[in-house]
Amino acid sequence: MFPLYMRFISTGTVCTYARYSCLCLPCPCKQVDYIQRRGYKKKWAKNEGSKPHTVHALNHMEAFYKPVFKERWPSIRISLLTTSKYCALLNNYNSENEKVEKYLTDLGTYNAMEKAKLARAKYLEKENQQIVTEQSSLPIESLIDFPKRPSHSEVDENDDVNDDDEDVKEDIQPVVGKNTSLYDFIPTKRVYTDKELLQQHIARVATFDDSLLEVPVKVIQEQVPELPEDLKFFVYPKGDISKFPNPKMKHGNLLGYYMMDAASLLPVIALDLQENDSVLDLCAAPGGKTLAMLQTLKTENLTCIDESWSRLSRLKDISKWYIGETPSSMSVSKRDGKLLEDPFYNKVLVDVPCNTDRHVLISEDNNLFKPGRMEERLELPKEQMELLVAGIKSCKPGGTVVYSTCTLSPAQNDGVIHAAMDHLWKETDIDTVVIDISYLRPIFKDIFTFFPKTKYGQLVLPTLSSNFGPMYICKIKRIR
Amino acid sequence: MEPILKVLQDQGFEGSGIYEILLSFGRITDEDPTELSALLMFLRSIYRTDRKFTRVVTTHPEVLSLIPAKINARVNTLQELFKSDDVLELTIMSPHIIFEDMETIQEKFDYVFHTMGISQRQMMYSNMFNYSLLHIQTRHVFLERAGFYKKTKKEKGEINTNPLLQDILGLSDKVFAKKFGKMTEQDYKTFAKYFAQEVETYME
Repeated sequence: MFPLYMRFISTGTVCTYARYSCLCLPCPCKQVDYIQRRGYKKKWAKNEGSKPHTVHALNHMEAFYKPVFKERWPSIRISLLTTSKYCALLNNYNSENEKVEKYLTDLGTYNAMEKAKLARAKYLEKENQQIVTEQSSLPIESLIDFPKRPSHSEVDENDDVNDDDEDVKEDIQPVVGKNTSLYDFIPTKRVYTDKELLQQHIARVATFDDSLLEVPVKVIQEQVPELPEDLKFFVYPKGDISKFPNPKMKHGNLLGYYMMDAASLLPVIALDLQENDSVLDLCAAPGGKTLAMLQTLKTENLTCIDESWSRLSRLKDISKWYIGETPSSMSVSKRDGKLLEDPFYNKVLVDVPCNTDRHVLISEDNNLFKPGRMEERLELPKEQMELLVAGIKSCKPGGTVVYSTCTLSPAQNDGVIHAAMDHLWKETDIDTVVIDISYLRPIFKDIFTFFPKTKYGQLVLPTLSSNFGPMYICKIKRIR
Repeated sequence: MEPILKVLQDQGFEGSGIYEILLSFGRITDEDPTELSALLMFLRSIYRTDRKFTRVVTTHPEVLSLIPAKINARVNTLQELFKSDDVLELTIMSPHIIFEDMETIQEKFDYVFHTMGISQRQMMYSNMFNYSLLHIQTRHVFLERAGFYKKTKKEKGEINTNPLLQDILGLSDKVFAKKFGKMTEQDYKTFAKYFAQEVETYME
C-alpha cells in the first residue's frame, strides 16, 4: 500500500523519494508549505489508528458468539485462529483412482467414509432400528397436523368508501372527555443517537431469539439413510497435522484428489442423493460441494447456479480439472437464486453466503467486517432467508432441501431456518418439516466435534485436534 | 584426580555430592587444583549461604569450568535486567544462565518483558529461564488466541487479569489445557505442533 502523501521539505525543491525505496513511482517535486506525514506514526497520532478488520471481526464474535457457546468458546476461538485442517476428496473420475487411494493411505491417512460406515452399523445396532420399507402405507401428511395459518382479510372496494366516511366522522369528535392519560403526550425521554441505533440494529441482526416468531416448527425423525457409497475422503488422524501434497496428475489423466474442509462434505451426505434425482445447487460456486455431489456418481441431472461470474468460472475450472469437461448432465448458469420458484427439483442444496468465520479472522483483503461492507453484512440474514425460501419453492413436494453455512452465528443458522419457516407459513401454502439429522453425530464423532445445543440443524465446531468447520447443516423436507 | 578430590572435600562436599559432580562434569579432573580452589572460594563468597552454594555446584557443575572474571562479567550484564539480589536468586534457580549464551537469555527476557508485558517480579517466581523460548511462546500464544491473555496497558488504567507467569509456564500440558479452555492434552500438543510450524515458516 503506497502512502498518499510524502514528506516534502517546505521550501526546497528536492524530492526525497530516494529514501522510500519501495516507491518506484515518479512524482513531480512539489513545493508545499506544510509538512505532511507519511502514513500513521504512533507518537504523532492524535487518535489511535483504526483497528484492522480482522480484529473488528474477532470483537464481533466475542460479543455475539461467546454468550452462546460459553465454556466451549476458548476452544473454538483458538481453533479458528489456528491453521485449519484439510481432507482429500477422492476423484472417482480419474482412471487410476485406486492407485491414488493407495498413495493417500501410504501417506498415513485413512478413508473416513469407511470408518463412518462401520460407526453407522454400530449405531443402528444399538438403536435397534427396524428397516422400514420405503413405501410406507400412511402418507406423511396424515401424521402431522399443520397449524392453521393466520387468515388474510380480503378488502372489498365498496368497504373502502364506507370506511372513509366513518373516519371523517371520528375526527370531528373532540378528544377532551375521553380517558386520556397525561403521559400520552409526554415527549420521548430518550433520543438514540445514530450510532446507538446502529448498534441496536447490529445486535438484533446478530442474535437469534426464538420467542419472537410465532410459527411452530416441527422436527421429525426419519430412518437413518445409507451413506453415499462412492464418496470417499481421506483424513489424517486426530492430532496429526501433516499436510497433503498438492494434487498432481501423476496417477491418471486427471487430478487425483481435491483438498477441502471435511465438514463441507456433511451437507452433501445429508442430501442423500439417489439415482434419478434432479438436483439444484443454489450458490454453487466456487464448487467444492458441487464436486462432492459429482463424486457420489448419482448426478444425472444437476443444475448449478450462482450470482458471481468469477466464482462460476472457478467451478468450471474444477470440473475441467477433475472431470475432464463439464458433463452434459450438469448445467451451469449465472442467475440470482432468490428469484427461483418453480418446483422442478427433488433435491436442493442451499449453501448460502455467510460470515465465513475463518476467513474474516485471517484475511484483511475485502474483509466482510470493513466499514464499506457493513450494509451488506447486516442484510445477510435476510438474503439467506430469501435464498432458502427460493430453494424450498424450487423443490417438489416430497423432496428435500439442505441448508448450510460456514459460520457459528446462531442468527444465520437456526435463526434463518426459523425465519424462513415463518415466512412460508404466513405468505404461502407450502408445508415443510425439519428432518432430524442428529444421526450424523455418532457416525462422525471420531472426525468432527458437534455442538449439542442447536435447535434445528447440526453444527460442526472447530477444535484444535480436528480443526474442521465451522459448518451448520439443516435438512428440510417439503410436504406440500 | 587426588588433589581435585581433596579440594572438593575441603570445601565441604560429601561423598555423594562429589560423585554427582564427577558424573556430570568429568572434565573437572583436568582442572588445576589451585584454580579450582580459588573458583570455589569465589562462588562461596557470592552465594554466602552454604546451602545455596552447594546447590549451584551440584546441580550445574559446568559452572566450575568458568573463571571468576567471566562469572563476574555475566552477573554484571544480568544486573542490567534485574536487581542484584534477584540476579543471585536467578542463578540459584537456573544456574545455567551464568554460562549460557547471553543472546538466548536476552531473547527470553525481551519476549516476556516486552511482548507479554510481564514484570521482573513475576519472572522471579516462574523459573522462566529453565524453559525454552519456544515453550514460552507456545504457552503465551495459546492463551492469547484462546482469549485468556491480553497485554494490559497500565497507562490506560486497565486491570491486569492475566494468569501468573509461573502458572503459564509451569503447569503440565494436561492441567494447562484443562484450566484454560477445558481442552485436552492432545489439543494442546496439536496446537504446539501447528505453532512450531508457524514459527518455522515465519523464520524463512
